[in-house]
Amino acid sequence: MSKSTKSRSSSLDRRRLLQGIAAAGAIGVAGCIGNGDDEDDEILDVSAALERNEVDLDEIQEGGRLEFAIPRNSISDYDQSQSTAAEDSVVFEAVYDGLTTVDSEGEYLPWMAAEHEAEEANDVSVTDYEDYMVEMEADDADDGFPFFDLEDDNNLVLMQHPDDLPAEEGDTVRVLTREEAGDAVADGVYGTRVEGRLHEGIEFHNGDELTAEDIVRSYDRYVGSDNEGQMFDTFMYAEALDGDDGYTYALYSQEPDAAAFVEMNPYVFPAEHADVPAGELDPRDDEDLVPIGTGPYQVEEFEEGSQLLLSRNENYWVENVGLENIPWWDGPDEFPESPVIDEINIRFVDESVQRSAALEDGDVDIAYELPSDARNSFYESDDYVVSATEAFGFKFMQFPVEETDTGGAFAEREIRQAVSALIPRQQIVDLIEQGWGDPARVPFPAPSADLATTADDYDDLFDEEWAYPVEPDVEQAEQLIEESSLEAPVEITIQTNADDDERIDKMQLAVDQLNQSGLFEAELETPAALGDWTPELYTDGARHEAAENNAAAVIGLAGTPEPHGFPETIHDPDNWNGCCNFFFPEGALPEDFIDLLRSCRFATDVAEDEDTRRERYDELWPQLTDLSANTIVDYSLNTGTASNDVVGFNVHPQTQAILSYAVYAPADEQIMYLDRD
Amino acid sequence: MSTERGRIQISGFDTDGIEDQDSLDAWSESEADELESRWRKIVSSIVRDRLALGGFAVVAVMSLAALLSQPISVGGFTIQPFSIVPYDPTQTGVGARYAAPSLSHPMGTDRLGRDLFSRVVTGGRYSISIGLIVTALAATFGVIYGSISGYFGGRVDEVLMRILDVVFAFPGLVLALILVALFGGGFWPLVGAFALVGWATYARIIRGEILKVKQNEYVMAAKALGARDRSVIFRHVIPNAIAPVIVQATLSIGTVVIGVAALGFLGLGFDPGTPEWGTILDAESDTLATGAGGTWDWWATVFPGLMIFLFVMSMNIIGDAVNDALDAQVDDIGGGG
Repeated sequence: MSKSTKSRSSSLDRRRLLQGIAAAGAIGVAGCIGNGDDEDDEILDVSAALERNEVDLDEIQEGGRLEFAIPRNSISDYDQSQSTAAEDSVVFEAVYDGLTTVDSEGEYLPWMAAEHEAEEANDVSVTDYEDYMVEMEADDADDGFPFFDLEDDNNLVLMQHPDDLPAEEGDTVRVLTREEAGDAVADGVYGTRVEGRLHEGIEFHNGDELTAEDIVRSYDRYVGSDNEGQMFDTFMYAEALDGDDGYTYALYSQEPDAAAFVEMNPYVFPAEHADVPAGELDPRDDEDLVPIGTGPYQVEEFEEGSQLLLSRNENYWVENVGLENIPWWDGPDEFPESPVIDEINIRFVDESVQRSAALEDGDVDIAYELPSDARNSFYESDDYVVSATEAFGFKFMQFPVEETDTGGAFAEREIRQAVSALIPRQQIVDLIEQGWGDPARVPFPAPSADLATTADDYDDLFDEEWAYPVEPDVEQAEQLIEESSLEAPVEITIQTNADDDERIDKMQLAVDQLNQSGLFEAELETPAALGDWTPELYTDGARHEAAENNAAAVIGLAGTPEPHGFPETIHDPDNWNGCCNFFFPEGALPEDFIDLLRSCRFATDVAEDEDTRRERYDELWPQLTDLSANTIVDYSLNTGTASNDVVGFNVHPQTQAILSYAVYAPADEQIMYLDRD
Repeated sequence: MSTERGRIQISGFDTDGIEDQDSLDAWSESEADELESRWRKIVSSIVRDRLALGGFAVVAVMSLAALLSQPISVGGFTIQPFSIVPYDPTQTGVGARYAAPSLSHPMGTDRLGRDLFSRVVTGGRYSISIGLIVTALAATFGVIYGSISGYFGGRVDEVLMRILDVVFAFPGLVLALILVALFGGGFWPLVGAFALVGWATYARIIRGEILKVKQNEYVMAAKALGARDRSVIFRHVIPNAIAPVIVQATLSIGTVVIGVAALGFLGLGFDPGTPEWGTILDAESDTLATGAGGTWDWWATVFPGLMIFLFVMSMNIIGDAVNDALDAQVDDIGGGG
């Protein structure tokens, strides 16, 4: 009896609940049906965001705490000799000033260096160092590539005699290490020499004065670091020309190097950190090891994963040196000689939705990498400022070109070209980026075009035969498949990061287009859902496995104004299993192509003459797109969104400089302040 | 008469009496009748309870729509030729980005211009089929495992139950998440992950029931008559202890669907672009950030969320009705799988 009563009462409640839900749903749906529009997607006009936000110098207000959100849940590595994470650099570019700086046009200018100039280039190759090489026994070897056990922690092998390679464990190999490099330099055997002079009176946050010795010793910190390869593939030797306490220095490259002016510049560490092994400069492990630089901000407080507070360097070197002593400065006298914001509170907000909400709620002042629709809303709002600029970031697809018994489709150039021809680049930018990006038409972005082509106008290159199609070219793809040994549909997989929604969306469009063409049966995979997928690409056998599975990899990369990074990073076998060449060890790509690629930067003629270098790149680009070992998908616009409390916010083309540039960059007369009233 | 006074009369050894008794087969038939009547009770309970009937109708419609949404081919042979959804659920650009619900797109479109109605209807295939398969696998294994444990008792029970404790020591969803993270997502890995964590609940329920049922006279009688253990367990014990398992199974289908959607929402489960409800929600979660003065594209999250809600709630209502019909008094629906 009681049970029956209970049941009825319960049924009535549920019924009412369901009826309520049904009614609410019906009303909701009815209210909205018919309001939908099937109009074509409207592309937002982002031109206003590309204009600079100017500051009236008389209105500048000093002080305040800037709340700045970065898209990470913590600092990956406090040690900048070790860190490879762009978001770490976003923060620490404000702590460490460089020998040079880059303006918004991508031009390199001396910064802590009053002078910094490439002087001469010698036509040397590895064999020219033969007389300075020492014989060493290989401690280990992998694939004919020897490894050595060196006694001095700061020493490393810079080059090996090509006649001794390949080598096995126990073989004797002639090598040039850092210890012998000075002898070679003394005899005039080196590639390019860069001579520079520091401004006098630059002090680290700990009060030590910056001298040439600090520059020389900073290179020691790269030995054994994750950035070792990147630094020492070019750099050979540094010396203080006027003694350790002097201000002049000379940097030497191994080969003639057209980019030696910028590519050999290290983060400059103070003497007290010179002997700290790479990766150990981390206050989370030792509270005394707080990063110390010469930059406008210093680390004040930190708490793992929740807070990092930077405070203004009250002894900033620009105030001591004076802007008028910066060689290129021609700005107004009243332009501040340091940032005006007192503190920067770095907020770790991993999710884009949360960053958007935090910005909307006023919890943070500046955020970037927001959901595209939210960014559009901020852009159209009067209460926020969205700043954008053409940037160096790009997404690319890399094909495993190895021939394998199963799979191996991408070993055929025509298949790679067909995939590249079908990527809907324009749709990707219009639909996913909502106009906040550029489809890739050529293998380098507009801001890097100065040294990358003889063409007067970047847009002229779009009509070249070798340019990427922005709309899918099914006809060309059909022809390419016919020319290949495979029959349509070719089964392929496209892999990308699981933690990047926009990248996933872009590749879904690409996969859909490939499938719609009927030429491919494509699938999208996001391996390592909980972890970091990219390191898996560097593991043994990953290249072979990808080739067997016809799996192309898609990742993004932040480039620099120096154009060589775009082709080199993703093609050069010297970069294999370093970021970001996953699939091309020595011999995987045609030797003449690699020679041409290297000759665009590492040759005497291009190092001494920029026009020759531009012509060399003109030769490279058609071969590069024809080879299609990689294909570029799109180039990003760097964007940042600030509340109206922030005045004068502008973004820099390099993501790493987005904070340091915004707070203070005399090269563009960039200054930002807070107006909380 | 007087000669029998004071004697103890022992029955059971007189063969005449045994012959007069019902045969074991007949006994089983009566149990089969009882099972039949159990299903009749369930059906009758659902028919009488309009709420449960509504729930059943929702589940039936969603399941049928999912089944007929797109053709199904096995080994190149089409076994289901119908396609009731207007668009290919994975095709991008069939409408504008985030077009609001309209006659051409009754549930609007998503960020890639895909038709949400087609995606949501087809999405039922993944969630519902995984729910059913997982429940079938988990219940089958759990019932066998729990029956052996409960029936044999002693050390067997002790060892088997401690293994069960190990499984229960992990939160079900977290364990499934770990398994999927280790072995990858996809339909069968998800089935495996949820079945691996879900069987334990059934094992524990059936063991408890069997500890009661095995004390009954008909079980002892079957044993005494020399029936093998397997026969006793499957023909006499399980059929009389199964009611709570049926209720639990009904309720847990919804739990599995929620679990699959949860993993999908966490970016595990299926590859992006798969029209599975949780995966759709994950991909569209950015719409919740509208930015200053922005409008909320509500349909992108409401409809897939509503499907999960409707299906799970309907299954729970059906489960309640089954519970009432069988008087099983199962109220634990949080055990996973």
